[in-house]
Amino acid sequence: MTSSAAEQEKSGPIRCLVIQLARLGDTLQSLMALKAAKQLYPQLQIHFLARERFADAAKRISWIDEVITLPSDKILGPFIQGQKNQTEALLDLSEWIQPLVKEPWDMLLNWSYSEASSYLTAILPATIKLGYTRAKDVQMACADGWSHYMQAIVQGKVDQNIHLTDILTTQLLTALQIHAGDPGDVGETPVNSKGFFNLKTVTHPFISQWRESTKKWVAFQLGAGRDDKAWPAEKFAELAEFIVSRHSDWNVVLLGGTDDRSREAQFFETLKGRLSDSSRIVSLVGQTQFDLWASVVSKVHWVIAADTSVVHLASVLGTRVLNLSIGPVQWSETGPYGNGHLIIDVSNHGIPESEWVYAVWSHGVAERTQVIERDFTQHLTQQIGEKALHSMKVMRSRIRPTQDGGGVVYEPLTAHALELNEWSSTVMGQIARAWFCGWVAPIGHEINRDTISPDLIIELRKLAESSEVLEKICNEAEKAANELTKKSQKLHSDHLMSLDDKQVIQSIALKMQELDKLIDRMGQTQAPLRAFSQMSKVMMNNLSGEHLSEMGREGAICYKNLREGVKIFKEWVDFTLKMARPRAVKSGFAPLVSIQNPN
Amino acid sequence: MAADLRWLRGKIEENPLTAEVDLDRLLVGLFQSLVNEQKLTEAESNAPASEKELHS
Repeated sequence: MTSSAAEQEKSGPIRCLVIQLARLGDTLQSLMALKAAKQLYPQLQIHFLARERFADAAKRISWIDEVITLPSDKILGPFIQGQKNQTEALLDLSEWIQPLVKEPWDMLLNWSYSEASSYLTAILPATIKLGYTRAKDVQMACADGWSHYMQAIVQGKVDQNIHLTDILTTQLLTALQIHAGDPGDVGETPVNSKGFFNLKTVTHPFISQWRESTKKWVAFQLGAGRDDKAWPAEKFAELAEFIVSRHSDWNVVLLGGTDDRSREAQFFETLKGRLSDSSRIVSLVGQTQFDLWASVVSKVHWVIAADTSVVHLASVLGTRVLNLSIGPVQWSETGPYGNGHLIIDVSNHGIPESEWVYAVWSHGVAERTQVIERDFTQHLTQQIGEKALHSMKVMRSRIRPTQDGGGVVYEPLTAHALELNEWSSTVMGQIARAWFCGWVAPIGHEINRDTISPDLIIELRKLAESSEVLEKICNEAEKAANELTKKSQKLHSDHLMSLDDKQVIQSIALKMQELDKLIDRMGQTQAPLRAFSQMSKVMMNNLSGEHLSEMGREGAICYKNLREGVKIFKEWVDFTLKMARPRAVKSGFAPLVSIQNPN
Repeated sequence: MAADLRWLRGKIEENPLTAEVDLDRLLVGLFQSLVNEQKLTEAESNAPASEKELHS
């Protein structure tokens, strides 16, 4: 343990309230981030606030000191149903808040990133706050840099590739390092899934059967967070048929809530008369409260699911996931976390066919159990053909070593040309690390030369020009903000000043307004630059200074950050263009790539 | 409302970390946004929020 960490531990626990009012998937991602922090800072005393119906996961964790629940149905239900008026319901709400304000918190993490949670964060007393809160005028405010990023980039739908679990972990660890010192030395102990939950003992025929069986199981979670993200039950049925008929040692268990009953019925309707041994498919749809559900997910070898909380549950429990990314899903932000999970993304091609999913899963199984004779592309080409192979992207998750930036990264298993949004999301992730972690990846890190297409080169050439312009605009804005600071520091008052001073300040303010408009326009015309216009707006809305000089100083810092971000962006553009230039090859060797120079 | 919120208001005002907050506006803002979220959840699922599944 370092001396600073030892000193911190002696000084007593850090009382930390975590507000997570979103759904179970977000709750599980928060718990993963907290486990990493608790391992490094054992003095963290974690109080976890969740909605009543999503609190079970936190209640099963021994290192969470207290789980506080928001009984939203009890407090809001009578008002929504017209049984109580607003004043009465507000009293119920304030009564619920009272225990939370008894003693100030050392740290308050608002990880809900919602409007409601921002009000609650503003009401509760805490020495350090992270996440969304409210300013004195009750306007929305971001308490820290990562919250700016969440609002401007993640919730602003700008392409970026840092996983939400990594954002939360980094946000908390950075704050702890600043306020509580360096963490204790935990050696090379990885944060792992062993014993994550203390589950209640479950008595269920399926679990009893399990103990006596040596069979392998794959779980299908039938539903999804939203209908447009779900994979049809008929496709799941076809997949089950492939697995059961081609692998005598594998069985299928269906998972889902009571509202997945119709999917379950459709599944069995599709399979009617197609299986010789129906006992190899077991349905637990509508039967799985948290403990049984988590027990099953921890015991199966694979989980196949669309975008739903089971992906995070399996990640926490160390079960391999095949994630079907359907509809509006950002898998780079919310995909399965850990090593070796697979993601199928068909983007504009509708939904994946059951044969495709089977081909990917069967390769994943073979990878672990036998020596692979064919690589992934050969395996898929043989199973589903080249045309189908080009209709989907398959990614495999990997945890980066700390020296490479840490966090999860999804590496493509299928060859495809890098699209502009993929390129810019990689670059955005690196800019964020430079902004908030002070760590800059080597330029070009994680960009493969073979994937750079002529189309991408054309787009990057346009960006090379406009990013240079944007860097100059940010530089001008920074200078103007510094000028404002310098000028206003000499004033005796922000309100009473000579006419000359007033004119100078007005002209600086006008210049800054014009530059802001230009930054905004750049973002509107070129999608990858929207990251900077969004960040500019959010950072400017969060200036907290009360005097002109303070606002000028804060504004200059914002523009400096933007300028540095744009500089990194431009370096990546230049590097990628340089990387794509045709290489001289020794005679007798075929070139590795054939990229046509657009000029 | 003011009389019944005395304890909470006193606690917030006596704490230097929250002394300047506008409790009434924040409380109403919290309540209204929670109600909106609850209604949205029910509209999405066509079922009362309390019946929304754990798995989703």
